[in-house]
Parts: sequence; C-alpha cells; structure tokens
Amino acid sequence: MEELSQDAKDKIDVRKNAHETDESGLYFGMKEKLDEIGCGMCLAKWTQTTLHLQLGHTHSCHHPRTHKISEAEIKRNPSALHNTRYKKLRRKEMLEGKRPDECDYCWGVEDNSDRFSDRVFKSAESWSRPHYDEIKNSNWRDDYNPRYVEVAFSNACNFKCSYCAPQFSSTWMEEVRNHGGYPTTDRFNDPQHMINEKKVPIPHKDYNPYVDAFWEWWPDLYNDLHTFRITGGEPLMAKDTWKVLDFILEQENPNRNLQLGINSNLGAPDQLIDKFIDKIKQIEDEGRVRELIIFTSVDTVGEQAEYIRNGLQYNRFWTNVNKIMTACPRVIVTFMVTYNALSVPNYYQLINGVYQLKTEYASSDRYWNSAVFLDSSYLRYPAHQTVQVLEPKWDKEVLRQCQQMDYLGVPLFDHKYIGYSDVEIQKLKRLYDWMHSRVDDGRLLEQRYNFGKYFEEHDKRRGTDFKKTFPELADFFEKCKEIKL
Amino acid sequence: MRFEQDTFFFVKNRNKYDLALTPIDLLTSNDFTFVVRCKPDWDSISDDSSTAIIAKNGKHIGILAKKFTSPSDGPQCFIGLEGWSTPERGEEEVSFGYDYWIEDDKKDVEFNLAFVHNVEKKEVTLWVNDEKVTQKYRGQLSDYTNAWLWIGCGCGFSDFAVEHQWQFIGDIDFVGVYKMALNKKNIDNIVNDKILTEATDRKYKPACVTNFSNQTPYKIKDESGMGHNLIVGGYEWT
Repeated sequence: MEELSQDAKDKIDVRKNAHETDESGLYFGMKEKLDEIGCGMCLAKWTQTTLHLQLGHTHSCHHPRTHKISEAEIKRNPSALHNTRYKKLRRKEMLEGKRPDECDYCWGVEDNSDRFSDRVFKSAESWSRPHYDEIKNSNWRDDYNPRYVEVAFSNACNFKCSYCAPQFSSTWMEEVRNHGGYPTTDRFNDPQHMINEKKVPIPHKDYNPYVDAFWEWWPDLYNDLHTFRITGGEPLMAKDTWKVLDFILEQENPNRNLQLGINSNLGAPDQLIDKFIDKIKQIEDEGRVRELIIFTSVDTVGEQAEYIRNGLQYNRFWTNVNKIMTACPRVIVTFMVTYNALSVPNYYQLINGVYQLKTEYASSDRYWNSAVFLDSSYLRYPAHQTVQVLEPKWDKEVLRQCQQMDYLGVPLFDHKYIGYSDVEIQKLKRLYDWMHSRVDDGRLLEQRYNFGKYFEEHDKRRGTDFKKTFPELADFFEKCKEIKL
Repeated sequence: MRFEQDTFFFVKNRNKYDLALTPIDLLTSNDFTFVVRCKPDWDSISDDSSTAIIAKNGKHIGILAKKFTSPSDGPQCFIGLEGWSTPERGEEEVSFGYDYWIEDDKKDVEFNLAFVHNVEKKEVTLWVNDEKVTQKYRGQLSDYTNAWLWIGCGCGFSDFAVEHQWQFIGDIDFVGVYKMALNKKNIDNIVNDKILTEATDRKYKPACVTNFSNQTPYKIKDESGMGHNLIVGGYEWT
C-alpha cells in the first residue's frame, strides 16, 4: 500500500473509533482506491458469487437480492452462471461511477454513518484485493472468473429447520406441498410465495441445466479459485458434492491454494459421514487444498436443538463432530448458529461445549490453534422466531452468555491462544445489542401472535411438544397463543 | 490458589466488549471495600520487601503483605493498608497507611482481610480477622481513574521492573470488590460464604467476586455477574 499522507493517517485515526480492526489502514486505503474508480465501485461484483443452482439464481455479495440466470445465456457461455447480463450492467454502472440500486444496503451505511460499508470490506478481502488493477482496467462486457464461489447444487435436505424454507430443503417442500403454508399473518413458507418470486426449486432428481453449466465451467474455474464453498440443501445428499471432492482428489496438479468449505448438518447416514471423512482426510493428507473448513449448524443443545432443527439427532451430531476432529487433525469446524428465540434458554451450555472442543482438539498443526469456532449469527427472518420476540427478562440471560464467552475468551486476538476470539465474542455481543433494539409494539404483537400460531401448527404437523421441550418458554407460548389481532 | 512469583492477575476498569455492568474506574472516588481471604507465605517473602495482595497501581492503594527487619528483633511481618490522597487543591499528594504487625505465633494463620473506604467520613479501615484499625485522610483520595486493579501484585505491567511489581507469595482463595463500605457483619457473611451466594448478593453492590474455583489458562471467572474476570498477568497483553 502507498505511503499515506498525514491527513489520511489522521482520518484513519478518526475512523478507528468506528472500525477498531483497521489497524493497518487497509480499509481506508481500499476505500480510496475504490473511490478513484467511482463512488459505487465494489470488487465483489466480479470476484464473488453465490450460485443457487437449484433455483437458477445468483448474486454477488449477499446484500442484493438474487436474480434469475438466463438459460439461453448459459447454453452459449457457462460462466454466465456468474457473468449474467444483468450483473454486467451493474458492473458497467460501477465502472462509470454510478451506484447500482441493488446495492442500497451499502449506500445506506455510507450515507448515514462514518463507517465503512461492506463494499470496502469485501473488496479488501484476500480474494478481491489482488485483482483491483485487473478489474479497474477491464471492460464491463468481459467475463470474469470469480475467486470466491459459494454454490448450492440442490435443495435436497433431510432436515426441515424451523426457520428454513422449501427452496433450501426438500423435506420442507414435501411438507408445504401436503399442508400448505403456516397460519401466520404472512403465511410462512406458503408455496405461492416461491411461485410469485420465481424461486421454485428444481427437484434434485430432475435435469438441472444450471448444474450442467456449472460442470462445463468448472475445469476453467477451478484453478482461479481462492475459496470454494458448497452449501445446500444438505451437500452430502447432493451427488455433485462428491463429484467436486473426487475431482480434487483426481487432479495431478490440484489448486493447492484453495480454501475449501463444505456445509453439512452432519445428520446424514453413517456410511455417508464415514465416506465424507475418508475423502476429506485424503484431501488433507495429500495437501490438495490450503485449508478445509466444515461449516455445520446447531443453535442450542439437546432436545431443544432437535426441536429447532427438525431431523437433528443431537448426540449423533456431536459424535460426528468428534469423529471429524479426531480423523482430520488440520480440518477446522465452524458451528454456524442461527441464534433465535429458542436458542436463548440453553445457549450457555453450547458455549461451554464448544469451548471443550476447542481445548480438546487444540493443535499447532492449524494456523488457528483453536480447531473449532462458534459463529453466532442472529436470525432476522422469520420475524416471529427472532430473539426480539421474547420478553425483556431474557436479555439478562443473553448477557450472561456473552460474559461466559468473554470468560472463556483469549485476552489477545492471536492464532496461538485457545479460547473464544474477539470475533466470536463480538458477534454474540452484537446480537445482545440488537435484542435491545426492540420493534414497535404493533409489530411485536403481530410477531408474538405468529410465534403462537407457528409453533401450535408445528406441533400438530410434526408431532412435537413445544411446552414439554421448552418449559422455560411455556408460559410465553401460552400468552402468544391467546393474542387476538 | 497458590500465588508464586510471577502469578498475578489484573482487572481492567472497563470490559473490552462492554460486558461489565459496573465499571470500576471510579471505584476509589466512592465508598468501596476489598475483601480477601489469604495466607501469606511469610518465609518466602523476601526480607525488607512489600508485596501487594490487592491494589490499584500508580500511587498505589490497597492491602499489602510486608516484611521488614528490625535491628533488635530481626524480620517482622505486617499486613499493610496503604493509599494516597490530595489534601487540598494544588497541594502535593500524601500517603497514608497503617502496618498491622503479625505476631510470630500467627504467621501460619489464614487471614480474612478487608479494606473499607468511607468517602463521607474520609476514612479507611483495615480489618484483620476480628481486629480493625481506621485511618483518616485529608482532602480526597488520589485519582485512580486510569489505574488497573491487581491481585497478587502492585503493578504488573511488563515494562515495570520486577522488583517494583511487589509480587505476592502465598495463598489467596477469595477476592471480592464491592462498591459500598461494608460493615463487619457484611464482611463476615461474605468471607464465610463458601458457595458465593451471599458474596455475590446484589445488596452488597459486588463488582468482582471470585473464589478461584473457575479458571481457564488466561482468566479467573468473576462470579458476581458483573463481567470483571481476572486476567492472568505476565503475558504479552500486560
């Protein structure tokens, strides 16, 4: 990075208050470079893509809504899975100094605070930053191979988590086909919503032109990749996941700089889990990737976790995590938590459980000696299941959980210390802060009404028992059911 | 918990993640009490030295274990109460304190100690088991806003010479910091409570309480729920 002027350094100092992480001036420098091209410039429009192949949708960065991929385009050019005409027009706007409307999340941040927006963070990532000049000098019509690719091959999934949707779960699809949407005011997961939004998933056993195009593009894409992450559905139930693993294993000259991430609910049958462990172990042992991360999910402990994530067998899940950690000493496991109202009563125990894993599997074989990470993201949708729906008395419990994470945390953010990192603790603290920013009374009443309606119907359809599983929330549930709108 | 040379902890005034319910930067500007149960290892404490059991650094304030040689009687042991105040605006700060002499037959005894500050009366009291001494001070206590609270030493910053860190040797198995001037009955209730129910009762305004039973390689858990875990000193973060 160029030597900064004193004025620029002063500005960094001011911004450090808002962005304590920008110690090297990385983000400030990146913002200046982006703004040289235009105030709407963001490298992620080129370097990053998420492909929902089961829907034929894509977006670059998770803030803009996904858009439909043209079947006609991918017939001629499989990279149009990412390089869609629609996206190229947004790139044109960026290169011409305009702000694409679809990126309004970032414009909101930039216009209403002194904080950096995600366009700066994403452009400063190691999968974006090195490509600045190449992108700056490119033509908007050019195809560009992304460096960070997230792909869902299908919605095949053996779970139907309470906050998930049929687009991402075939068992959810089956349920709403049989029973329709839930009797909430927004008709949660009503199939008509998918039809209206043109997001009806292609059944995983049917021909999918987007998956075909992906495999046509893949040999060209693979060597350019910095990060490749497979999501779903449940990836272990998608044959294409296995095809990716086999491809990597078969390469004479694999892309050894690749960061490979695979999501899994770790609830697949034992033989699939064992097969998965064998393959990732071989990839790891042969040094075929730089880093391998398993992203798994659980939102609290025991029966309550099983209720939230329908299909989960908690003890088996925990056994499978241990199996992976034991067999693959360099693999990292990240618990992606969708922290929701039902997580609150016993999340404290999950914090302690993950800490035990951190200490048990701590090893200097990994750059981050902590082998396991707890990523506590808060649920925003459906609104009836967010932490904001709960009574304020639960705030104290979440604070207690934050304090416990702090106690089990490392005093200094450094790869060699074992315990919760700044990032993990701050994420839960942000959730606590968000919990405080209550919604207005009218909306809260509606959300609680929906909470009652949703879980009443959930118990009927799935044979579950909310009050028995969540005795801590039984009274609250009753109150919600009594609400009349 | 055994405190050897190089075993010490600190509590920052504010929690890094803003998780402390009651900051302690202004602790000494108001009523407060330190309560400690400890057993100094008098034989291991060097002659003619001061060690801090609990103290805020700077112009230190807290409870000390001291050993001084008397020409006539040889090494003598003391529990010390020390602090500094500013008598009048513009005047030099002055130290105050009291050294409670430990008789030879009490050197193997565990002590319940308390340092009680009453801001209105401008006095500090040292309790050593059932005995007390009270000292008046003039003006107001010195400004300890930016000082850290240390347990097992007087100041453990790595750029501070070891001989000036006042590292304590012995056992400490209870520490409580309270934002009120506790009376003897309160102190007894707290220090005799093995399960910390009384010691963490909000009626005493606890800011940090531990019996050292919950610990990680880097921290001792603050059981008060106020978020002031003790952080181990001697690493790169000090």
